[in-house]
Amino acid sequence: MSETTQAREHHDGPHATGIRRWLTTTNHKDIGTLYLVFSLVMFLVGGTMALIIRSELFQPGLQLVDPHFFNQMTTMHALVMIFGALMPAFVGLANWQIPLMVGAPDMALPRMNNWSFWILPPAFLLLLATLFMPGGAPAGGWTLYPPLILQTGDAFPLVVFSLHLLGASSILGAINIIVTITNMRAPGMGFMKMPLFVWTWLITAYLLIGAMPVLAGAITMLLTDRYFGTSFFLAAGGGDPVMFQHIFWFFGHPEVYILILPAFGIISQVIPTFARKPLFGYTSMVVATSAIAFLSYIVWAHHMFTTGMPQAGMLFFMISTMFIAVPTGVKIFNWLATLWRGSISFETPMLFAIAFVVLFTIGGFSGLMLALVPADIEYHDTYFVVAHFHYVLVPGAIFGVIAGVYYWLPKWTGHMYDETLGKWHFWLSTIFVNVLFFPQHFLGLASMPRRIPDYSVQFTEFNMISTIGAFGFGLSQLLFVWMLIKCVKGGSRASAEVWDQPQGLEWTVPSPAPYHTFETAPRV
Amino acid sequence: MKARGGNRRLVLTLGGAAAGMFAFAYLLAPLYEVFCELTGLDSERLSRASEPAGLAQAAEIDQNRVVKVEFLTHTPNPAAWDFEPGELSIEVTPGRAAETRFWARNLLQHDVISVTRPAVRPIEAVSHVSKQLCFCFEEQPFAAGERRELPVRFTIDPDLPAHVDTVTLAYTLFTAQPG
Ligand code: HEM
Ligand SMILES: [Cu+2]
Repeated sequence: MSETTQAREHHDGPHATGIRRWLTTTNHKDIGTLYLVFSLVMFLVGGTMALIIRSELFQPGLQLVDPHFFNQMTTMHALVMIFGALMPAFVGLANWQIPLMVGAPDMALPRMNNWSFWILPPAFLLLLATLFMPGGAPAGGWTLYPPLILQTGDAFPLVVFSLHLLGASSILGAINIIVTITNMRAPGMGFMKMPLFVWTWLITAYLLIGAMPVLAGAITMLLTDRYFGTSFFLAAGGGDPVMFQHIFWFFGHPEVYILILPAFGIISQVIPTFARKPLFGYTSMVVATSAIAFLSYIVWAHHMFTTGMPQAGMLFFMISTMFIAVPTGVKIFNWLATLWRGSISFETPMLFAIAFVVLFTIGGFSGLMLALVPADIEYHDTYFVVAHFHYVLVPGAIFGVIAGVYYWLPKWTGHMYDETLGKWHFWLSTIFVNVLFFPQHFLGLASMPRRIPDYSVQFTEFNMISTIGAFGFGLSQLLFVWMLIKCVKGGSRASAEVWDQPQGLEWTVPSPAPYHTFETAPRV
Repeated sequence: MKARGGNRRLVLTLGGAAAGMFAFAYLLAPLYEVFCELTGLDSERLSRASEPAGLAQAAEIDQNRVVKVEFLTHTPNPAAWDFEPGELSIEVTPGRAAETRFWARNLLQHDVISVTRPAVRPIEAVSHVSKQLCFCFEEQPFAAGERRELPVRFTIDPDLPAHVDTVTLAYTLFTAQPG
C-alpha cells in the first residue's frame, strides 16, 4: 500500500461500513448526523401529534378523538418536541460544529459520545410505546403535575424511565461538550476568541448539568410516591403537591433557556456572515448570555403565581423575571447593530435569522406581559401562554436550528442546497407560523383555557385560522425535507468558504468536511 | 491540547456536579419545610392544636374589627364522600374564639377512615390562625353510610395584618391509605 492511499484511508475512510458504522462510530461528524436525522424524525412525529390536536380544535365540540387521547397528544407532543426534536438538534449541531469551530480533531470523549446518542432511540421507543399500553400514554401535561400524573395507567414507570434515559443522555452530552471546549481548543484560541455558538453551548451545557438532575430527582419522587409508599407530593400522607411545582420549575425554567441559548449562538454566527460585518458587541453577548443563564435559576416561580404565594414572593419573582428582559434586550440590540449599515444579502439562513430576531422578540414581549402578576393571574393556563411559548420556541428555537442547518449544510454535504426551495420554505413557514400562533394570543386574552379538546363557540373563528396555519406550517416542512434530500444527493459544488468571506475555522476545511479534520491543530 | 489526565478530572468534577444536583432535588423537600416554618407559612401547624397568641391580654381584642371567615371543602373522591361546611362564612372578632362545624358522610357500604388536610388563604393569614379543636388533628373513622358533624374551634390573632379582611379556611378530605 502506497503512502498516499494509506493517508487517504486514514483521513477519509470510515472504519466500518453499513449499519455497523453507525452503531459503533465515535466520529463527531457521524454522531452529529445521527442526532440531526433523529431530531428530524422526531420533529415529524411531534408535528403529526400537533396536527391531531389542531384538527380536533378546528371546530367546537368533540369530533375526531376522545378527550383522553387528546390529552395524551398535548402531553406527548410537548415531550417529543422538547426532548426528541429540539434538544437532539442542538446537540447534533454541537457535535458537527464545535470541533470544527475550535480546531479540534474530534470531541474529547468519543466513546461516551456514541453512548449519549444511542441511549436516545430506545428511550423514545419506550416513550412512544406508552401510546399503546393499557391506560394510554401520560395525559397530565408535559409538566407532570401530581396528583393528576399519578393517575397515568401502566405506562407510568416507563414514562419515568424513558425520561431518566433522556436526562442521562443530555448530561453525558453536556459533559462531553464542556470538556471539548475547555481542553481541546486550538492553540491561540482563548475563551474570548471563541465563536458565539461555542460560547452559548458552553453555557447551555452548564445549565444542563444543573437542571436535568433536578428533573430526574422530581420524577423519581413521583415514582416512589406511586409505588413505594412515600408521600413527597401526596397531601393525604402529609406531602405537598405544590412542592412538585417548585422542584419541576427549578428544572423547567433553566430548561427553556437550554432550548434557546444555542439558537442565540447560531443567529450570532449567521447575521455577521450575511451582513459582512463582525458581530457588534462580542463581549456584551458573552456577558448577556451568562447573565441570562444565572437569572434563569431564580425566576422559576413565575410559572406558579396562581398557587397562592406570599406577596413578597410574587414581587421577587416578578421583578427577577423582568430583569431577564435586560440581557435579552442587549442581544437583540447587538444583532440589529450588526445589521446596521451592513452589506446585507438575503440567502435562506439569513432570512430565517432575521425572522428569528423579529418573531422571538414578540415572544419575549408576551413573556413580559406574563411576568406581571396581576396580568398573569388572568392569562395563566390560557392560550395566551400557549402563544407565548410557541413564539419563542417555533420561530425562535426551531428557526434557529433551521438557520443553522441551511448555513452549515453545504459544509456537511459538499453541495449547495436549492436556494429556490429554501426561499419557498422560508416564506411559507414564516407566513404560516404567524397564521398558526398569532390568533392564539387573542384566544388567550378572551380566556380560552389551554389543554382542552372542546371550547365555547365564540372561540371558533380564531381556532379555525390557527388550524389552517398549522397545516400550512406542517406541510411547508416537507419542502425542508425535500431540500435536505436533494442537497445530500447532489447540487452545485460548494467551495471551502461556501459564503462570502465568512469568519471561523470551519470554513478553512474543504467542503464536504473530510472525515477527519484538524488532526494537527491550526494556529489561531 | 491538554493531557488526558486533565479530561478525567474535569469529567469527574462535572459528573459529581450532576450527582450533587440530583441530591439537591431531594434536599429541596426538607428545605421546603424549613423555609415554610421560618417564614411562618407552616401549614402543618394548622393540623395541630395550638393556643391563640394574644388571648391572655383580653384588652387586645379589637371589638371594632370584624374579619370574614369563609369555609371551603373539597374531596378528590366524591363518589365515596359527601363533605360540606355547615355554614359558608361567619364573621369573627380577632382574639375571640369562634366555632363552626362541617358535615361528612361516608357513601360507601363499608367502614372507612378519613384524613383531612387544612389550608388557609391568603398566605399572610397562615401564621395568625390557631385551632383549639379540629377534626383534622387526627384520622376519623366512619361506619358504612355514617353521616357526622365535625366541629372546629379556632381563633384569629389580633395582629392579623390590617389589609386582610377575609380569610378562607379550606379542608380537603381523603380516604386514609390502608396500612
Ligand atoms: C423575556 C423573556 C421571557 C419572559 C419574561 C417569560 C415569562 C414567562 C412566564 C411569566 C410564563 C408563565 C406563564 C403562565 O403559565 O402563566 C412563561 C411560560 C413559558 N415560557 Fe416564557 N418567558 C420568557 C422567555 C421564554 C423563552 C426564551 C422560552 C423558551 C425558549 C420560554 C418558554 C416558556 C414556556 C415553554 C412556558 C410555558 C410552560 C408551561 O406552562 O407549559 N419563555 N414565560
Ligand atoms: Cu419560565
